[in-house]
Amino acid sequence: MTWKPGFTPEENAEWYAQAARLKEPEQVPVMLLTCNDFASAQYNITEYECYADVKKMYEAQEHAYNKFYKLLAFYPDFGPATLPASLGAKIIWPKDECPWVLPLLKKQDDVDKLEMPDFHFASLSGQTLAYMKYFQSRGRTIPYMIVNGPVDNSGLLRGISQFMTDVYENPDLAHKLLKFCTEAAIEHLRVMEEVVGKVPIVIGDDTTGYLAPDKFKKFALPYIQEIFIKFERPLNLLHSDSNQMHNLELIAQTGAKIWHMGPSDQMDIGEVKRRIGKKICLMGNLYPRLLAEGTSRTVEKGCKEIIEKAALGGGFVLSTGGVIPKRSRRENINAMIRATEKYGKY
Amino acid sequence: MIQKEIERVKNSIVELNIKKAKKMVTNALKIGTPPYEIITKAISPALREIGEKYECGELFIADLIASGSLAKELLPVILHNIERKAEKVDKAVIGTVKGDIHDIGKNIFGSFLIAYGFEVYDLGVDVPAKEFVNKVKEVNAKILGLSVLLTSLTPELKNVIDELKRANLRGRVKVIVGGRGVTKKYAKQIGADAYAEEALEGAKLAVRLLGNQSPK
Repeated sequence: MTWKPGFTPEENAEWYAQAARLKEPEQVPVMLLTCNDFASAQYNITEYECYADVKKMYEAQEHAYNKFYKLLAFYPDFGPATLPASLGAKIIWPKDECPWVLPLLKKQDDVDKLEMPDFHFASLSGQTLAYMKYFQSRGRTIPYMIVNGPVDNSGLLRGISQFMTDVYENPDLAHKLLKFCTEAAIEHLRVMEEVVGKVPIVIGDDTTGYLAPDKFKKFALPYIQEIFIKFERPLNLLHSDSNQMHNLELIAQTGAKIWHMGPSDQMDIGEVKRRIGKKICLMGNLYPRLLAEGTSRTVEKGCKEIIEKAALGGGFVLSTGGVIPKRSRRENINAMIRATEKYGKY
Repeated sequence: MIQKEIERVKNSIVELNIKKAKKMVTNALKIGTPPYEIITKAISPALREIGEKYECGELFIADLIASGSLAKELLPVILHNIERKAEKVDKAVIGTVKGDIHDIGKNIFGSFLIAYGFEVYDLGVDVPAKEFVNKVKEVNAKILGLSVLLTSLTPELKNVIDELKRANLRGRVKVIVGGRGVTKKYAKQIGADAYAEEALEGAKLAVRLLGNQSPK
């Protein structure tokens, strides 16, 4: 007999909403956060085929959705490339990897020349909207809107090393770029909202973990806060899966209701819970590689430890510390889901 | 007075005050500080101190990146003034393999190599195998550092090693591989001399691989 969870996706969604409100639901909810690499690998097509063809992207996501008990979300996106492409950055499309961005702003003067695109039509942002409409025409709800955060986008546009150097060498320039990226994120969300409605937002800003606390406070916090304030929603999520142990209290101030954090080999969720667990819902943080390279036993053990450290008092969602790797094995994902039933009852 | 200037250069780098560090280096050169001493007594120790602070959790990745960029900017100014005499300096060639454009780890690794006294030739990103080999031969490098982030591009590491063999250079250079795309197991499989999970570890390995002698 094929195993399936003893709860429905609707129940899991309700528990997730309660956890986001820092409550104790009936059971620890589970979030399987995946990208197109996962869906394409499960469907045996390349990532590039997904990006290039909306039908294939849809079919791959639908296949994964059905395979994993309807616990996955439908979301058509182009990874971190969307805003940079919309501004004219050159994008590299590997055969079976996420698209990468070649830095656009080589000279300091280039920052002054940036112009806000019309996200309805610009390059990948326009394509994302078209793909969203296609998914909707197939009867699917797009449950959230995703944008890169200002620090990530600034790094993509300038080159991460160069932007981090700007923070020290030319802070005014860094602030100018961050301000532009914040306004761009807000405008992009506004345009996506015309298609998907007032759904929660997800800001992905991994490289904020590279910043020391004083730098995070100046160069990340106000900009991320601005976006969350503009789109205040109960399930807003910050995805930042780099090591943030030095920035925890600041993460809790971003305005996100849920923080999708990095993996257990970098961050002890028990300590995170102690320090900020009453201020923000924690989502994580199983070491993602376990799902691809571990056994169901090691996955279960890992999940048990995390649940024991983080579930008490509510405000916790079991997930991987980062996205689920593309070659994750089904039995391991099953083990993760089973762990919430076995160890996650309140 | 020269010692004081050297100390000022070192402190401004440790403070990550880029503008001040550049000014201090200019001042130091103006008053006749031997350029090579600025590297060995200010820049290298400063970078090592920054590395130690990072290991202790006092500094973070952005700090490493900024210090690496600073070193990269300061060195050409200083090296322009240098007359290399009898000092033997071990050379390292580094780069990100062909097809990959990620450079953060590589840049930090480069700055730690400088901290440990290597003369570093950074070939940048998306570097074909032959280019690595040509540079190793040209400068007689003892260390070759290869970085890769994308798992699909890890075969490039083997290409470089094979290219070294074809050019009869394999025995003359130690190959260190690193980056999220590679594992220790894979590094061993392809015949690399070492695998470094982090940049600072890589620099220390480079010193050890050359026989535990700190390069000058």
